[in-house]
Amino acid sequence: MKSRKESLGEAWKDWLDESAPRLLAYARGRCQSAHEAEDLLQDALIKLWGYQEEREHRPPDLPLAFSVMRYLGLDHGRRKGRRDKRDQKIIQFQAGNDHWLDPTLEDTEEASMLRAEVEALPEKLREVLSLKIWGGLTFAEIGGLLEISHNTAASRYRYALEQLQKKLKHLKENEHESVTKRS
Amino acid sequence: MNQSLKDLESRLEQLSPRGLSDEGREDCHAVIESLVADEAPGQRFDWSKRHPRLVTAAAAMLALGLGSGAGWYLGVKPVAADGGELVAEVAGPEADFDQLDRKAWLITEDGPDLYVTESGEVREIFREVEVTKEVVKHLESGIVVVVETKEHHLVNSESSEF
Repeated sequence: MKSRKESLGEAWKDWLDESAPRLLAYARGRCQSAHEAEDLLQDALIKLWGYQEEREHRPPDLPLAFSVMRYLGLDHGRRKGRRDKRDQKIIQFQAGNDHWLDPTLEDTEEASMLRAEVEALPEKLREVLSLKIWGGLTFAEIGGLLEISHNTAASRYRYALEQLQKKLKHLKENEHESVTKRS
Repeated sequence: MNQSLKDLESRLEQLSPRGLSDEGREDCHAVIESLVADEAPGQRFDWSKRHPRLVTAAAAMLALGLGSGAGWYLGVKPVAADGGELVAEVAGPEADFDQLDRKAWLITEDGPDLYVTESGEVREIFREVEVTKEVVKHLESGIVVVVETKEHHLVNSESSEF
């Protein structure tokens, strides 16, 4: 029979396996590299463990985990003074192979374009999109986390989708044009 | 939301976020095991492999920080070779650390001893320990350390028992 400590450890590891991709996707919006995002996740684990002391150290709910990641991410970003360089970094992400959406799972050119365009979205839009699509949070939870109304969260989400749609359409048109010229 | 946006939404859902690297997963599991075992989180586990040159510097900084603190506690300020106080060194290490968590609590070690003063006042005397547990991170290196300090106080106060 497993001891309480063993069960607790397994519960946290299961929670991590399930939640890490979502949390990392969010953290990547605030970090320079996958490596930094993983470091942020480790720091968040320590914080969350402390927060869950009152709840017998049960694994935390996702909104709390996102909240801690956001706090640590903001702190991290502030210290490094990276905000003004963010756009430049997004270009750097794309130039290298340091993507935060798994490229091995993309077998179409469109998926690849989509990934690149998501990574190039303005931070506020990307943040809401990431929390909704991959974080699985509701607009109310996103609103609570970002300290905005749920209507604002929903508007940003919709606007992000519209931006992506426009860009994809534009890219496809360009592609079609160049194919037509070649033929 | 129109149909084309809904289609886009479902295409996005198919793009999975990247998971932890094998190394990252091992590190996180090690942190969890350490936390569950109710031990100090200690060092970030992959850290020395990733930034080996900074290990010594961070350890030195930490030692300096703790050494300075201990010096103050003992009432002996660190003194430079020329006799001047090492003010810069005392203030410096603190700025390089980020406090992740802090808890403090009091423990009463012995039961109070009662005594009567010459003027007839009943007073009690007891020993109190102030325990502070801090989780700090060295900003440059990322090393996470739990620092526990104990300060012993002798409390001498008027007794409320009589």
